[in-house]
Formats: sequence, C-alpha cells, structure tokens
Amino acid sequence: MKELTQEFCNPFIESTINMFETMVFCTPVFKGMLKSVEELYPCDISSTISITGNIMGAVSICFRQEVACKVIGNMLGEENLEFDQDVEDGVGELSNVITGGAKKVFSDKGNGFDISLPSIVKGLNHHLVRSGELDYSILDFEIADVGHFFVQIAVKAKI
Amino acid sequence: MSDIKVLIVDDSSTMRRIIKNALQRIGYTNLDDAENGKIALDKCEGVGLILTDWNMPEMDGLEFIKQLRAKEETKKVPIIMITTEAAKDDIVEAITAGVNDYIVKPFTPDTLKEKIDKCLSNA
Repeated sequence: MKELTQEFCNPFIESTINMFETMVFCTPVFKGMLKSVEELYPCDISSTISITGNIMGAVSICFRQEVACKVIGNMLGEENLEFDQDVEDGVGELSNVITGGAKKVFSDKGNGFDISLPSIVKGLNHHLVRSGELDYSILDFEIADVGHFFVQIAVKAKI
Repeated sequence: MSDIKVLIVDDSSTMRRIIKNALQRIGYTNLDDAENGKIALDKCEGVGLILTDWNMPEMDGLEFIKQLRAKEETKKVPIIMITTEAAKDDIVEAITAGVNDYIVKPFTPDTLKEKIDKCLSNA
C-alpha cells in the first residue's frame, strides 16, 4: 500500500473542479492530499463508485451534512435543503459524474475502466476504511463560505 | 413555449430535476420522467423528444434505445443521451444504437438548449 501521486490523481481533481463549476455553480479549491484518514474530518454522507478494468478499486466523495445540503441545494437551485433523500441522490450523482470525468482521461490514454452505480453511506461522523491492498489518496477540497469535502481514491492500477 | 412531450430518463432524481428545471426555463411544459429504461418504455406514447442517461439499473439507456428503435412508433423519435460515458468508443456505441445526439455530464443549461434545438430542427 502506498500513496498515489498527484499526477495520477490529477484527472480526479480536474473532474471534481469541472463538475462543481458547471453544475454546482461554485469553484472548489484543491487544498492538497491528506496522508491519512485520521486527517479527514468525520463525514456524515459519502458515495462510493467501484471501478474495474486497468484500474480497480473505488472512488468516494465525502461530506459533512451541512456542506452536502448546501452543495446539492446549489445544484437544484433550492435553499435550505433538508438532509434527506434528495441530498443522498445528489451526492451519488456527484460521485458518478466526477468518476466518469476522470474515466475519460484515463480511457484516452488507453487505461479505461468501468464504473458502478453509486453506493451511499449515511451516518453521522463516519470514516471510510479502505482495503490495505490498495494504493490510496485523499483529496481535500474547500468551497469558500461552505466548507471542506473530500474525494478518496483507493485503487490498484495495472498501469 | 413548446407543447412537445419530453421524456427524461435517469436513475438520479437530482439529475431529472435539474433537466426538468432547465427545460421549463426554456419553455417546455409537457414533461414526464422515468428512473430507468424499463419504466420509460411504458411512457413513450406521444413523446416528441427523449433525454436518457446510459447507466441505470433494471434497463440501461443503450438497451432502452435499441428497443425504441426496433418499434415502428418510436423508431424516429429524437433521442439525446446525457451521460458520464465520454470515451470515443462509448459515443460510437450510442450512435450505432440510434441516438441523435450526445451530451456528456457535467453540462450547462446552454449546452442542453443548444443540443435540443439542433436535434429537433433536424428531426
């Protein structure tokens, strides 16, 4: 198990920023790569996409409750969204589009992979634990006046 | 204002609402939606435009399109696929199955309008 390089993670970073700028109408700032899950704030909702192919593993996006509500509210053009099924579905769609965007970059280089439908975990103060067999990275993003969110990548790449 | 019936097919309720909101802003009021291709097949009567996702449970967008194109009453209905599947091979596969145009998520409301206008003007 080792940390993934930023070069490997760049497609996920760019895809995340592109998704937020295009459909959430805000620009998240990439703050860096965290070294361990202990540095990650506990999350209240996360969505995981499994990937298989030349790259195998999972990509997850993780939010605190209040950040998730504001982000999905922005997507839908609605204020004061409750932490309910709409937010769950929206977080799932975010993970789907972010992973899909990165997939295109890897596919263009001949390293395509297939992606699953999203799996949502909802529960106050949870952490996602990755398999020790996988290389990993935790990407830290911040949206001004909203808060942080994280994209966790845990994969075994055959490239 | 357009009374053309538009069917939106996506397993994400968020994406269906985003697309519905965008369509209403540009004058489409006769809207219906479905969460997968299987359910959508029963909602195609009188439809003038279909916007469909690719990856969905039960019946994915590709199979949905193939079934539409195999039926006399829906074989010429304009279809735009809206999906994260953006690799060249994916686009070729969708066009071969019968889509008229293709939008890669994420997309802006302007892109949606532009593609719909183009698709309907060619229909």
